[in-house]
Amino acid sequence: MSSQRILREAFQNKLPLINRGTYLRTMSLDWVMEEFTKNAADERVQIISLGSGMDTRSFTMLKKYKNMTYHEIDFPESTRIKKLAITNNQQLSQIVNTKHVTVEINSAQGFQRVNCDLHTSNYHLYGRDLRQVEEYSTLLKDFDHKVPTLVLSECCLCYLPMEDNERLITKFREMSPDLLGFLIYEPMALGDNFGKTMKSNLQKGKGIKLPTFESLPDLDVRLSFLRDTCGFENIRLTDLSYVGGYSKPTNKGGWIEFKELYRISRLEWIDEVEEITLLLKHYCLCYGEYTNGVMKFEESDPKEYRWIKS
Amino acid sequence: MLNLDEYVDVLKGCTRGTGKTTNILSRTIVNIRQCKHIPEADVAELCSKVIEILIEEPNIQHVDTPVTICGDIHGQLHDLLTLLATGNECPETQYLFLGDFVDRGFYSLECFLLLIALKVRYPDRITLIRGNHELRQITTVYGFYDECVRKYGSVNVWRFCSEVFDYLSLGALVGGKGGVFCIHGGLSPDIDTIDQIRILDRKQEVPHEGGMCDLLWSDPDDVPGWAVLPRGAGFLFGENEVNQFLHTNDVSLIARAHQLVMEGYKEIFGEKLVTVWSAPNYCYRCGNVASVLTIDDNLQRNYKVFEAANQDITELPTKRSTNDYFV
Ligand SMILES: C[S@@+](CC[C@H](N)C(=O)[O-])C[C@H]1O[C@@H](n2cnc3c(N)ncnc32)[C@H](O)[C@@H]1O
Ligand SMILES: [Mn+2]
Repeated sequence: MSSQRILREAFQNKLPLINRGTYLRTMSLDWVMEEFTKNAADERVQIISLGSGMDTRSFTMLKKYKNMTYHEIDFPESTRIKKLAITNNQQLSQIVNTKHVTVEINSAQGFQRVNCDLHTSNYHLYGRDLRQVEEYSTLLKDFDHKVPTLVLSECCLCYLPMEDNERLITKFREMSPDLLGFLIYEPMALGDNFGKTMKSNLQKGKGIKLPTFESLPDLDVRLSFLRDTCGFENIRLTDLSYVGGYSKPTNKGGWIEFKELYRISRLEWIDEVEEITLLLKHYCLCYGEYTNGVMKFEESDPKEYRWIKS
Repeated sequence: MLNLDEYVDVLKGCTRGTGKTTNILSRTIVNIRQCKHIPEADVAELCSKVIEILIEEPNIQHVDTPVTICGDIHGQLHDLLTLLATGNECPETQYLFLGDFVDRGFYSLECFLLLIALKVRYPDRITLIRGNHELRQITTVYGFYDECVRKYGSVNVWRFCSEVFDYLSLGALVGGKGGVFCIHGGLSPDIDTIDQIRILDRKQEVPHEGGMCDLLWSDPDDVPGWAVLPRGAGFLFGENEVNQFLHTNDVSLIARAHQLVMEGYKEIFGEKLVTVWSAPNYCYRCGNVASVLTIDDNLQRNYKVFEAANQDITELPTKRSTNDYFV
């Protein structure tokens, strides 16, 4: 993975459809995370981000919530890049309370020698393979089991085989802090032609295989997986077309107020409504928790208009 | 690949056609179909020739039956060729294309050039009307601009084509009184009669609001009256508005494109409005089929459904964001 490529992709113009999807995804995940933080009503709160990649949510959240500790896990090759990006940057290193040091890497060996972990008073970065559940004992020793914890998987668990999904979730449950919530965002097949085409495009075009895409193909199956297999409570599920206000029969503007929807609709014109609805329907947002009652959905969302299933 | 008829057509053009232009034109058509590079000078020539024809056409073009109506194409050249094979080649079949020739697909330029070349060659056998993508502001976002710059290293070709866009008719009336009103998007609260469309000054970049904009952007829906559209431009219009329009203008059907339909076409409002979609597996991603609609001399409708040309995603010329899935 070259930083060149990351930069190029970051500055390439994206289609309005992709921008709109990214906005809805970020906005809805942020909402749950911030509600969790507020509802936990604790002195402190922990976030664990699985397969965090180059996501920058940790920095914006840590800047905003001083009572938060953020843990990020990804492959060592990925965390090394992130670690260097943090320590080489004044602002980022300040946010995560570490020293700003300029490290120059000139060779592949030099890169490999960089320690893939970073541990500070409010931030932990771990270079691990999530399938190696045995390593969790060293991994989870940094977590405070007394602090309300939200585990985020933004397009990560979908890369793991179903057995590893179950093993991972069960492991977290065993070592569970007193209050633990899971927030999952990922694509699902829905068993339709769009899903079939998406599977073959991802596989042929990018070599990506997503086991949960077909094993957990829709919200019904996901509900029973979370409830019956994983034993979650206080479960909520929705899809992104619902979040964006594209799905009928609700058409209530989804998670976005009408005025805001009207405003963003005019920023960039969406050329094809059916297509964006179709695409967004194939992405789900799922929440569940152990120790029922961390999230007070009835208070934050009295009309329950944010979720399709619970 | 050339089929025999086309080959004869080319030969005819060479030997006996109406001279040099026809000759060049026939060869250009063959080259476009094979996705060969068309010299910038030829594009310029083609564009100025088609403008000479389009400039004479009214905002609402009168079209005789039988005619085959086609929806969005969006730069999917291989599927456009399948379409022409499905509906029979022009000029044997008379065609009416409802706009959105460009953007999204990888061969917008070839699709557009093929259609205007056919228009120049057989002006009475093909009608092209404007879609919401035949707009400078939209093509700079949705791919056609980038494609032209990539293929020619300058914006000239995009400029020539955009100039043509401004001359495209806004709609068509198939079969005269009691016939079919054809438009890319739909109705507008500012427009009650077809005559009102006839007097619009269409030769311009489509404005952000108002009648001309709505005709290209609106969608039918189960709404009472008019509603704001989540696309950002145009309106949602309901069954009452359609009935009113049909009655006022003495037409029996509205045929429009503009919305992806998984089954290729969809009749709604008691079969008084139909959406025709002609881009199969839209954006190489949606997994839908496509269709064309033939209106015969008795104004009977006959749909032909077709599937995507089997094109492997790994063989596409560029992996630009067209088939991004944000995973
Ligand atoms: C699609 S990216 C999502 C990144 C980030 N969550 C975001 O939304 O921007 C998937 C991430 O999961 C990580 N990942 C996949 N399988 C993993 C595994 N077995 N162990 C650790 N990380 C993994 C990848 O390295 C990648 O960074
Ligand atoms: Mn359109």
